[in-house]
Amino acid sequence: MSHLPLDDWTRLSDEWRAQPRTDDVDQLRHRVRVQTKRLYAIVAVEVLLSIAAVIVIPAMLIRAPDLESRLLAGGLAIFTAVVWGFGVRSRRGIWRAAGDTLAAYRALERERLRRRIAGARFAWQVCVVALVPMLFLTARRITGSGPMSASALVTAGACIYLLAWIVGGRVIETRLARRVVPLSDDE
Amino acid sequence: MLQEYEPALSRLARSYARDEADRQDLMQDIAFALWKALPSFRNECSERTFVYRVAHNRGLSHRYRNATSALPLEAAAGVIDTGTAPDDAAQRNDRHTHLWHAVRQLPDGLQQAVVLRLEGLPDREIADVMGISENNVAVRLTRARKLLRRHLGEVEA
Repeated sequence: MSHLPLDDWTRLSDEWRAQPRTDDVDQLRHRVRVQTKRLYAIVAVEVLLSIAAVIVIPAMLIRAPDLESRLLAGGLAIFTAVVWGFGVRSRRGIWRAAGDTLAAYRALERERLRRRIAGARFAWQVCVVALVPMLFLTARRITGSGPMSASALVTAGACIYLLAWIVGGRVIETRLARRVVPLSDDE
Repeated sequence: MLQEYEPALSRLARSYARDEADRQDLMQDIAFALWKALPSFRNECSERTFVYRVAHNRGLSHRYRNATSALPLEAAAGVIDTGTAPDDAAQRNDRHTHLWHAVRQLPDGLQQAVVLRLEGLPDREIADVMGISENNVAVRLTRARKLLRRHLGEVEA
């Protein structure tokens, strides 16, 4: 048997066998690229929605028949601005890895996951905030114009939409949070 | 059989290959060689020795065929540079890369013995795989250990 301390070869052997497989590196690079494309797609959709909002909201404000409608349009404008601002802030610094290194790609993947969780949390929380006045408005319109009136149906539809976002946002946040643990195992 | 030994064979192939594409070629070569040689396996040695022997011989042939010599270690590593990220994952990967580089810098005969030792094979089995005496294995590993200590010591310093 070769004369050297057993723990030397054992330690080196443990290091050697714990090498990351090169396939893992390629898969990580591929995942990061797919995530980047998804980010671009989300930004494109947000830009289009923002353009639509910039056109629709002023038109609503101009044509609003009463104070209630103007308040609704104003609320929509604030909602759009807040969501847009959050989106811009949450995507800062996560467009590309800090370097072409294994550690940089892993760090980017972890940070993107954290931002997605924060985004899902923000989405349902802002919908909770928006739901309150919307429920109030819906109740007013149902009592004022009747439950089948167009205006009541529109706001009721908006309430259902917001509720769906609240539930969906919570589910997404929980599922994404579970993925943080396996990624953290790399640390 | 391949599934069981795949991680170890992948590391072994990496030590003989120039780069990632070369490693994949060699892996396919090894898989084919094992498939061909398996019918003639008569349990004259352990399954592990048999697999490593076939892989080692294919690796040698592959290397001499490609006449690899002073290749960029980064290309041969097949792993992107670890950079200078301060987190634990980067430090761990730095150690892997340094060990890998240190092993790659060993002369061929020493490198082969060291790779097999790092895969957990005892001297007797390494001798079986390489077709040399156990004493020869011990001498090679002692020399390799000194060189590794110097390479790794230089890096840590």
